[in-house]
Order: sequence, then C-alpha cells, then structure tokens
Amino acid sequence: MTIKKKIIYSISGLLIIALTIILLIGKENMNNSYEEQLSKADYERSMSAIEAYISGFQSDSNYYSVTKQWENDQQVFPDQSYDINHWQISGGELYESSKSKGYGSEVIYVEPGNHISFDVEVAEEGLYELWIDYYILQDTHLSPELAIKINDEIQFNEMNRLSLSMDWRPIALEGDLKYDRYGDELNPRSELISEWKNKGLMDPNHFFTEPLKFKLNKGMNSVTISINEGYVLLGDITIHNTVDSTPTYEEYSESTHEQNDAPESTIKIEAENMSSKSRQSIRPKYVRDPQVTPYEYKTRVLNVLDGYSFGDSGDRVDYHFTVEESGYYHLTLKYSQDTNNGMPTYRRIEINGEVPFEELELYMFDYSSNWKNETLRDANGNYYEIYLDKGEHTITLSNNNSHVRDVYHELLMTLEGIDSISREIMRLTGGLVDRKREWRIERYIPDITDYLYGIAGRIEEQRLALIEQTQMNDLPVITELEIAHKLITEFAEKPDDLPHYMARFNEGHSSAYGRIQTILPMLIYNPMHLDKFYFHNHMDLPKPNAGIVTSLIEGVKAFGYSFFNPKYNEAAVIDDDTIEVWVNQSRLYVEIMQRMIDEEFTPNTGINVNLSLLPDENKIILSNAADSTPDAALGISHGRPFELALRGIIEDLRTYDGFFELAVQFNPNSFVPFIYDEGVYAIPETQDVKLLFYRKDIMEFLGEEPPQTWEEVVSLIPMLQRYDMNFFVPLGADSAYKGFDTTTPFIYQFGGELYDETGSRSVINQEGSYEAFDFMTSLFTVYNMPITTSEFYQNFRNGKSPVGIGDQNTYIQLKHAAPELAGQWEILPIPGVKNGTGVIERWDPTYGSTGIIFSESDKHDAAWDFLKWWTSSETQSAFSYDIQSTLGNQFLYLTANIDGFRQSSWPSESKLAILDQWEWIQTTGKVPGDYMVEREISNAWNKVVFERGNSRVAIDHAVKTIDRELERKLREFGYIENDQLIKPYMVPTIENVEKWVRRDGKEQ
Amino acid sequence: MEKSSSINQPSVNRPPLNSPTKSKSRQMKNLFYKVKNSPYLFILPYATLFTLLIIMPVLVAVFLSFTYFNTVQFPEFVGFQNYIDLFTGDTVFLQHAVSSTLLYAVIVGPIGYMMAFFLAWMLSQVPHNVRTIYTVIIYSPSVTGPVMMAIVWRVLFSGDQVGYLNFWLLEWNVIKEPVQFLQSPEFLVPVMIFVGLWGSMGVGFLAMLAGLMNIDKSLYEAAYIDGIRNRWQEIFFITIPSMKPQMLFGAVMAIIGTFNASGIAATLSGGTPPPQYAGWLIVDHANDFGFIRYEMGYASAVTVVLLLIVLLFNKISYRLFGESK
Repeated sequence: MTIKKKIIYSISGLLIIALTIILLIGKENMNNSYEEQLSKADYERSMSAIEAYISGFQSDSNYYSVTKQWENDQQVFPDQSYDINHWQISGGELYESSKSKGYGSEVIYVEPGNHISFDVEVAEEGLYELWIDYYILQDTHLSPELAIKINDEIQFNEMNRLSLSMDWRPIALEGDLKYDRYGDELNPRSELISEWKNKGLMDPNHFFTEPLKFKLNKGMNSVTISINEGYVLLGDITIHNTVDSTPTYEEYSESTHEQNDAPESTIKIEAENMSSKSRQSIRPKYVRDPQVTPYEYKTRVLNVLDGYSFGDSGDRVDYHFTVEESGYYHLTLKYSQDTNNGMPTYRRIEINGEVPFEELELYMFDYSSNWKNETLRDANGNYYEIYLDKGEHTITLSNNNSHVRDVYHELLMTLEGIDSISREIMRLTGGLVDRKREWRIERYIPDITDYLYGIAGRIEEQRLALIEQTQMNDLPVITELEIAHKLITEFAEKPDDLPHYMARFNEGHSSAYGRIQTILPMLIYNPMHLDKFYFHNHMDLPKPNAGIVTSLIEGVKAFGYSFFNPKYNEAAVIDDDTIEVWVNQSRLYVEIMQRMIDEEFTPNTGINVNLSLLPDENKIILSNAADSTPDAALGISHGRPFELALRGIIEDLRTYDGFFELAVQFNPNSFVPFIYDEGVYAIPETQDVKLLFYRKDIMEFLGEEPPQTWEEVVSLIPMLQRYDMNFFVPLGADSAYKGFDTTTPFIYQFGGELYDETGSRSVINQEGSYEAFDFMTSLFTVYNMPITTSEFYQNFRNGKSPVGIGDQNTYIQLKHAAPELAGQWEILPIPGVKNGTGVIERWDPTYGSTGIIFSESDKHDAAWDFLKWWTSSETQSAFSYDIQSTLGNQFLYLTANIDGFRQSSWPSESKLAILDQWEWIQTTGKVPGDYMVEREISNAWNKVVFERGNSRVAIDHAVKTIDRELERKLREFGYIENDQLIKPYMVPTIENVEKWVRRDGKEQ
Repeated sequence: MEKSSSINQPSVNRPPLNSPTKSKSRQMKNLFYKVKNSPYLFILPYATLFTLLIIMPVLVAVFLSFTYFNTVQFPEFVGFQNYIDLFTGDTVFLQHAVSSTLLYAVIVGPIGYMMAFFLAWMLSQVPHNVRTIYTVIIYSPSVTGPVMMAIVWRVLFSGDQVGYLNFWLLEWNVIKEPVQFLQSPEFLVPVMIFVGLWGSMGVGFLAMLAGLMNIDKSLYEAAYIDGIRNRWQEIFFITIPSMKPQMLFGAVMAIIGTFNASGIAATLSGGTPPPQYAGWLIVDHANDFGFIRYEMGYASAVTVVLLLIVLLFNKISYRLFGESK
C-alpha cells in the first residue's frame, strides 16, 4: 500500500465522519426550527389532529359527545307526545288496580332481572324524552337502576345505568327517643317516601339538568327497559319533549307582582330540619360553635346540615316553610365550605319545585372555612328579590355538574389521548427496561408532536375556562392543570424522552395523566355545610361567627363541664336487664353500634346492652381465669371460637331457638371453623373476600381477557413478563409464612382435601392436594413469578402487577386512595380450576370476625337475642349504611350475612362479583393440632421453591410430621387410647356442614 | 475533659452501737437487737423480692416441667415424660432450636460483646457532648428493636425487586433476580444474625462505657513512664484489667441476651414459624408449645433446659472475666 493511498483513505474517512456530523446536526436543527415555527396555524392543526386521533379510537360514547354529534346533525325536538299505557307494555307482572298503591288503574310490577318492552310509532324522526310514572316499593334501600335499549341499540353509555330518583324523609323522633342515655341528640333515621312520581329519565352523572333525549326513528321503534336494581311499580310512560324556560332575573322581576311590599318579618329555616332528601345518608350533625343554632355546650344537638354528606352530584334537600306576609324577600344562606381544596361550591336553588330565574340554576358559593352569610345577589352586588305568597312554600337545594360539563369531558378526552399515546409507545418499546437505549419516536409515530401539542393545548384551554368560571387562578386544581400542561409541552418538544420518562407522562399520580385524573373528582364534588336560611327584607342578620369573647366563654364552659360530664364519669351499671358485651372493634364502630342498640334493640326487647371495647382477645382467656367473663363478645377473630369451645368457655349456639332460621341467611361454609364436635360455637359477623383485580387499560393494551382459570393465568404470565409486568397471588406476598388463607384455595380448587374422615391423618400428599401443591410451587419455580411482592396495591397502581388477587382492603384502597385509576380497573371472582363437569371451581376460604356467648353468663337467652338481632340481615345492612353515613364513604362494611350484604351500602357495581365469589367459600374445619398442617405445607413449599427439592418428597415428609402431631393431639383429647382410635374426630367440611347448620341436616 | 466522679462511695448504714439499758424487758430488747443487728434483716427486702420474682417462677417452671398442663385443667404429674419427649422425639428442638440458638449465641454473643467494647472504647476518646449523642444513637437500636425490625429491616431486605438492598444490587448488576433474604432459609439466618448484632449494644455497652470513664487517669500516665509504647498495649495492660467487673457484667448480659432472644426470624420473615424453622430459637420453641399448642408443662421443660444452658455459659464467662480470689 502506498503512502498516497493511505492519505486518500484517511481523507475520505474524515470526510465521511464530517458529513455524518453535519447531517446529524442539520437534522437536530431542522427539528428545532420546526418546533420554533409551531405557530398559531400549527396549533390549530395540532388541535384538530388530536381531535381526529381521539375520535378515531373512541369506542364508547358518553351522552355529552353524543349530544354534540346530534347538534351537528341538526336533530330536531318534535313536539308530539305519545302515551304508552300498561297494556302496550310486555314483561313484568301486571298488578290490578287495587294493588296499584293508588294509581287508579292497572300497573306493572318489576323486580331486578325483569325486562319490559314496548313499541312506539312516531311521526317524525328526532330526539325525545322518556317520562315514566313510577312508585318505588320499600323492599330495598337501593335506588332503582334501569338499562334501556332503543331498537336494540345503546345510543350512549349512560343508557346502561339510569336510575330513578328516590325521596327520603327523616323520621322525627319523639321525646326521650330523640336522645341517647347521655342526652346527646341522635341522628334521625330515614324512611323512603313511597308515592307516585312522574319523572323524565335523567343523566345519572348529573351533567345535564334537563331529561335525557333519545333518538327515535320515524315509524316503529322498539324500546326495552331492563331492571337491574329495585322493586318498582310502573304506570304510564310518555314520550314527548318538555320545554324548559326559566326567565332571567329581569324578566322575573318584571313579570311578578307589581306591588312592592316590604314585609317586616324574617323567616328562619334551620338547615338540619330537612323535610325530604334524595339520599339516606344526607344527615345533620353537631358543630360546637356558639353562633350556630341551636347550641348546647353540655350535650350534642344536631345543628347543621353536614356538608360532607351533601356534596355529591344529584344530592337534593327540601325544606317546607310558611310565609306570613306576601312580598319580596332576600334569601340568605349561612354556610361554610372547608374542604375540597379551596374550590367554590355550587347549588341549584328551587322555590316550589321551580327555579325562579336563570341565575339560580346554579349559584356559586365561594370557599369559606368560616361560617358566612351569603345573600343571593348578581354580579354587581345587587341582592335578588324573590316574591313569596302568604302560605306554604318549599325551597329545594340540589347539586349538579352542569357548570363543569365541558371542562370535565374535555379533560376526559385528553386523558384518553394520553392513554392511547402511551399505549402506542409501550407497543413500540415493550415496557422499556434499558435506560441506555435511545428512541426516535417520530420515526414510528410521525404525528406525535402534533398530538402532544394538541393535548397540551386542550389542557390549557380547560385551565383558562376554569379560571374564568371560578375567578381564581391559584386553586390547586388549576395549578395541577398548569403542571400537566408543562409536562406535556416538554414532551412535545422532545418526544424522544417519552419512553424514558413515562412516570411523568402517564404512570403514577405525579404524571400528567395522574394529575388530571386526580382533579376530576374535585370538579364534581360540591360539599357545603349549612346552618340556616333566612328570608328577609332588611339586612340586620345575626353575625355568622361568634366573637372572640363569646367563643372564649363558651369554650371555658365546655371545658369545665367535661370534668362533670356523666359520659366520662359514670361507670356502666350492670343490672339484671343489662347484658355486657365486649367488642373487638374500633371505638368509632362501637359508638355507632351502641347508638343502634339504644335506638332499636332496647326499645323492642327491653334488654339493655352495654358495649365495651376489647382491645386484646387474650383478655378473654385471662378474664375466664378470673371468672369475670362478659355475657357475649363480638368482633372475635375466626380462629378463637374453636379454641374457646375446646376448653368449654363458650356456648354451643346450635341449641338456641332460631339458630337455623338465622343460619340460612349465611353461606353454610362460613360456619365451618366454628364447629367443634356436635356444636356450632359462633355466628359469623363479617367475612372478607378475595377478588381478581385487573387494570382494564393494560389488559386492553395486551389484548388479553382477565383470566378465569389458573390455566389462563399461566398462559398470561409470559405475556406480562415480556413487558416487565407480573401476576400477583397472595402466595407471593412478602410473608414467608404461607398460611391456610394462601394455600388452601389451590388445594380445594384442585379437588384436594386436608384430612381423611377420621381426622387423624392428613391426605395432603394425595390426588388433588398433591397436584395443587405441585402447582403452587411451579408457579414460582417454572413460571417464574416473583417470590415477593411486598405491596400489591402499589404495584397495581404503577402497573407492575396489572392483574392479581386482592381482598377487601385492596378494594377500599384502590377505590379511595387511587383516584388516578378511577374507572380503569375492575374486579372479578378469583381464577379457579375447571372440574370434570366444566364448572370453574373458585374455592377460597373467607375469614372474618364472629360473635360468641360465654357459658359463665346467666343471661344466655338475652345474649342470644342480642346476637340474633345483631347478625340479622336488617341490622347488618342498616349498620353498613350507618357507619358510612357517619364516618364517610370509605368506611365499607362487609357483613357475612349474605342477605344483609345484598342490601348493604357496599358499592353495587362490585356486589355481584363478591356474591359470585362467596358462592365458593370453603373454609378449613378445625382439628386439634391443625397448626402443624398449616406450617408444614408452608415449610414444604419453601423447601421446594428455595432448595429446588422434589415436591413429592417434600410433601410426604410433611405428612409424616403432621400425622405424628395429629395423633399426639387426638391422644391428648381422648380420641386415641392405647394406640387405637376409639372414636373418629368428625372433621367439618363443606360436604357435611349442613348437618350442623341446617335443620334436619338438609339443604333448604 | 474527663469528669472525675467519685467511684463507688460505699453508703453503708452502720448499725447504732449497743447501749446498755436497765429496763426489765432487757431480754426482749436483746432479742430485738439481735434481730435488728442480724444481717438477714438487712437483706430481707432484696431476699423477698428475689424469692418472689426470680426463685418462685423458676421453681414453678421446674415443677410444671414435670407435669402435663393445658392452661385450663389442673396440672397432672407425668414424671420425666416431657424431658424424654424433648430429647428423644422432638426433632424440631434438637435439629433447629438448639443448633440455631447455639449458632446465634456463639456469633452474636462474642462479636456483639467485642463490638460493644470497641465502640465504648472509641466513644471514651471523644469529647463529652458528642459522646452523649453517640451513646444515645448506639444504644437506641436495643430499645427500638422490634419496631425497627418490622419497618426498617423488612423494607431493606425485602425480596421484592423494589426492596432497597435488592434494588441496589439489581441496579449495579450484581444479581439478576431479587434475592429472597427473608424467605430463603439460607439467607434468613445471616440476616437475623446481622440484625442481632445491630441490636446488641444494650446495657452491657453502657456498663462498659461507664467502666471506661472511671479508669484512673494516673494509671495511664504511670504506664507511659514505665514504657508502654502504643494504644494496644494501653488497652490490654491497663484498660481491660481495670474494668474487669464491667467486662464480666457485659459478658453475662450478652449471654443472657442472646440465649433469651426470640421471634427475630419470625418477625423478619413475617410469620411464626419462620420458613423451615430457620433461625428458630429455644425461646421460640417454648412460646410455640406454651401459647399455640397450650402445653405449658412441655414448654416449661424447654425453658428449664434453656436455664441450664445459660448457667453453663455463665460459668464459662466467670472463668474468663471473674475476679480471681
């Protein structure tokens, strides 16, 4: 090789390098200049690009977008009216006029699961409202839910879940009943007002205040209504359009009466005295504030309408009041709004069922953590004057979301946009793990910059809309939107960063997605405490807040009184009519329980009940030794009754009157752990449930259905692992001890058993049990599931474990502590194993708390009456509503009483899955020495998983150890003498449990 | 710097002198004085408490160890049956409980002891204010033990890939899969020993620190004049001999502490018993029989055996550190 050649080579090499550099820089520059050029026109283009992009994949349609579409299509609202009478309706049950509750003609009775249908011939194509005459029967406390189809079509999502509004009336308590034993005023119970109503079907999310429109074609249309919830009588159905014309204030003041009376009197309405309300849990409460009326420093008096209970959209309260003098009145509300991050709150105000003028369609009340008198007025500060006749009137306050209709739905759209972009990126990168790898996103998704700018632009638009509406620009809601906007804009500038920083884009609560998702609930939450309304014509109203001196004096008085308050001083007096019950529950629950007992149980039976907190269950054993057991105990953990029964401390409940009638309300298998010998020693109070939780978005992205069987789980795992995700089973939780709650589901699902019928041998190394054990270990050894997942809830949130098995706690956490996931997850019964007949067996033990009666007590019957009352379906469901209404929505109560659960306050969208899973309760019967079975299964599992032992060897070894212990224990309790089994130990199982809990041992 | 506090000032109350009396009840008085001057009266308060709180329970335990007692019915005498079962039939006791306890005690005892001395010695070198702070910091693990174990160590050693230790190891490419520190028996025991060491700076450590502070300064000065050349010599020839009582106390506390330890593996792994009885200590075994299986007699037998083991090891430590009379 000559020198010349060498030089040529090197020069050309250098040239090539230089060229590449120039090219690269040039490309960067081109990118930059492109971004700089993004001007107004580009902005428009981005916005339309994202619009087209979103509408491209938007499969489900909500009423908001459908009405927009209809508007574009210029649909008309014909004014003909069509009446549908009961004979034109097929389905349901025809009730004759005498059973029609005063409707005057025959009516149709429907219950959950029924469908009714009718045909209607309309002369003109267009949009119509559907008005129904209905009467809600008192069979459940849940509001009736309908699904409607027109011409076998669902025009918008809301049609799946329409509800009929209910009215509740607080039952005014008389005299002593109004107060508890310490003189505190009790929250009144509510009853359903059953009466015939004529209402149009409304938007269940309350974004629209007028009835929903449905599109009917010219000619015959068939309409089908399915009833999902509630027991209802239906009368005539009318299809027509109503005209809603609320005058403006100007028109109103002109049209009303000429005479300008100035009445002297002031009308005061105490907000805690509602005449009716739309939900049971809207309730009054006590505020210790001397300026709130009424006020007592010694006792609790209900004096305000609790704003936390009156904040959801669709909530409504009515007050009746009497006007003495006709004339013009100002209306003042004394309110406070101290929650929801400084957001103002809104109320629709109606007088006699009508909004008097447009401005009261939705009136804005500023955030105010102190009490404030707000006299309704216009933007210029002129007080509105409302004309009231002499006589009876009604004022109605209600919540709706019409003010955020646009903002809310637009933000939802941006969320969908973000979601779908993230999905495309995931598809591209496969859940990127390698941080060093760089991506040229635009090569794969050419329009990504447009999309991102479009999304950012939309967010900014909504932010400005919110600022205009609230007249504030420092609300947390607005800052969150600002941050989201910034994050998205950054990505729009550098789309290649997206795969690396998904945590800022759509994963977790601090991402742009999470931030928007978190503020959505704030937008539609409108809490407002109310003390009083005034109708008045002069402005000298009492000051809303007490002065410093008054507060100080009242504070000192209350403090001083606390030393003499009998509530804290009087020790409970136990007389002959009083039973003492220890409760292992939180103090908050015990207070509510005591209140329910004092209100309902004691007046009906004459038995006084004194509840005491039981902080530690071991106290029972100690108090037994000291001979001071109570009469009964509640909230006792599931393993305890057997231990106590074995030692003769508690009563066999089976011998008591009415046991079998009560037991029918439970799943018989819930009783299995409480059986010892012939007796059943406890009544289940609560029980947990295991459910399959899955992320809808991620499953959709993977194109997989949530698994129904373990086979499907096993085939899903590799798919998940490809994207660095995993399935979660409680067996892989972070405790090394694998108790029965994690192991027995597999054993039972595979058709295995733990003991033979004599209770002296374990059969966990045979047939199904061995198969199950082998599967339990191979999940980790063969399918490589992570052995430890310390927080399923966290991993579910950040998408690491998008599918998994969780319990009640997971449900509550996800529902209330993960707002950014709202609507993105679902529950199902847990996966199982398909048996010979093709049924998927989903066995799972459920554990919970129980109630027991002590043998030492001399008030067995009274205690049993109490236990029977407490665990009955009515009491349990009422309790679930009471704790929720007193403590808040996140206090969900899972009663073991199946009937009670059906009617309980548990969110109805998940009730079905829980009931399905509860069909598969299989809890392990207690055998002396069974702790050995539990721990040896755990040890054998550990041996196979960590030491890669042979599962057959491990389980056989375990059986040897177990059998030795079982034999030892049976000998100790006298079942084995001289190495002979003298009587078999009856192991309760799901096959024979009926012998104990059903009369005559038969299924009823 | 060093605060020369007074050491061991004996505060013995001398009995008042006998003065001759002329009263008739001289005999009674004599008796009274005899009782009053008796050394037994002097130790009576201590003896009462010691008998009630230490000797009685031990005797009751020894008595119960010869019975079958299910916590509800009256104990039934069974002779040596419990001991026979313990040494012939109880594989868990022999294979796991005794060996784990010995392993744990042999490692955590001496190393913890040496660490306690070493830390105390280092602390004695730093200025007073700082020393107080450090002392509190070093002593606190032995106070906050169980809480810390459940919160700090479980998170640190979690077998999840986001557990701290696993996360770092994965990040640095040391491992490919998360290590199951708390579930795998082979890792659980070392982790437990580590946690035991971390919490072993207890009363023994404080006693040694006090002992170190009280060594007479002049001894060191004298030793330097006599030709000691370095710190090592100082430690071995002056420091340790001067604080033998504290060293002995520390040793006894270390032995009792390690043999009495219980539930560490269970707390770390998240359930009783720990996987395959890894790190299962004798006290765990006693608790298991006493409170899960309700066999108090057998549990007492286990504790009696433990008592004997502890006594044996105490004897050894007296040999090593006791004052030679």
